[in-house]
Amino acid sequence: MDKIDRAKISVLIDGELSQEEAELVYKAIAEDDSLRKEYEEITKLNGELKSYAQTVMFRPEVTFPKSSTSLNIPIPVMIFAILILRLFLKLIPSIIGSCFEIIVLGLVVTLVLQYLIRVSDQERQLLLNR
Amino acid sequence: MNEFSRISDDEFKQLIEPLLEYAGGYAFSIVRNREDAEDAVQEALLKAYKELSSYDYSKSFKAWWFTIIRNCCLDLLRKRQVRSTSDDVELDDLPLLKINRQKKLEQDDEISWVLSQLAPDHRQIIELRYFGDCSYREISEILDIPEGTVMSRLHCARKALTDIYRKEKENG
Repeated sequence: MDKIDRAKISVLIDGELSQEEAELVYKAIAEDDSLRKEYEEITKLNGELKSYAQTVMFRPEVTFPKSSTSLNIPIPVMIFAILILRLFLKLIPSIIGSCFEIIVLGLVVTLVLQYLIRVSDQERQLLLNR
Repeated sequence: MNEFSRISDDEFKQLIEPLLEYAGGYAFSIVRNREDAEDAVQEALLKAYKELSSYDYSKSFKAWWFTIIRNCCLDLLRKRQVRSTSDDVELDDLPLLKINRQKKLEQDDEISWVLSQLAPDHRQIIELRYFGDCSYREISEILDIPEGTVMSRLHCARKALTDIYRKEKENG
């Protein structure tokens, strides 16, 4: 009958045994020829598999997804901020105010378009992968 | 909601970036094709990003993401199988995972051939350990089995591999 659980040979090779347990397994291996043979075979196999895994490993060229809005601000806060800005613009002379309003409107339209393009792009990628 | 549902794009990238190389190797070990492995990792990346709120942060992030990669790879193999034949097949019977002897000689790739001869349970655990560089704990989370089972199954898989090697040598 074996002195140790043979699965512990694998655990020893993987370095997942405590110092105390590792010493017990090493002792058993030294005293039992069949355990030593198994240990040697698995050590050899372990090395071969590791070097094979290294040869097939590669860094895939992937595109990281981006959040649907470039600003991480909740929508109600954004609406509130726009209303406050609008109120502020009404208080300054009308000629400057209208210019500012056009700029702000342009920015809002740009953000909305950016959002729609990103969402549709992600959906398209998912659909293509499906 | 958990803390991961609010992480920024940069934080997500920082979590994924160090795992990418192993993800590539792991996906390759399942689909046996670099282009498909890349597609599977990309798909897994999008899924992980979308489902980040479902991640249980008490568990390993790597284990969670590799589970998604595994599912994406298996979906890809199923689709490939559906394209090539209209017959219903079990996942374990997928021909891509069984490389024949002739191909072995053509590829001069003994380890790849030997791995393809393993039982699905054994192959699965070898792929995670060597190509995914997963710890026992991570493997136990991905396969949803106790760590003790990981230890014994990994040992059995290694024994099976050495037996296949031995038989190979005996047969010349």
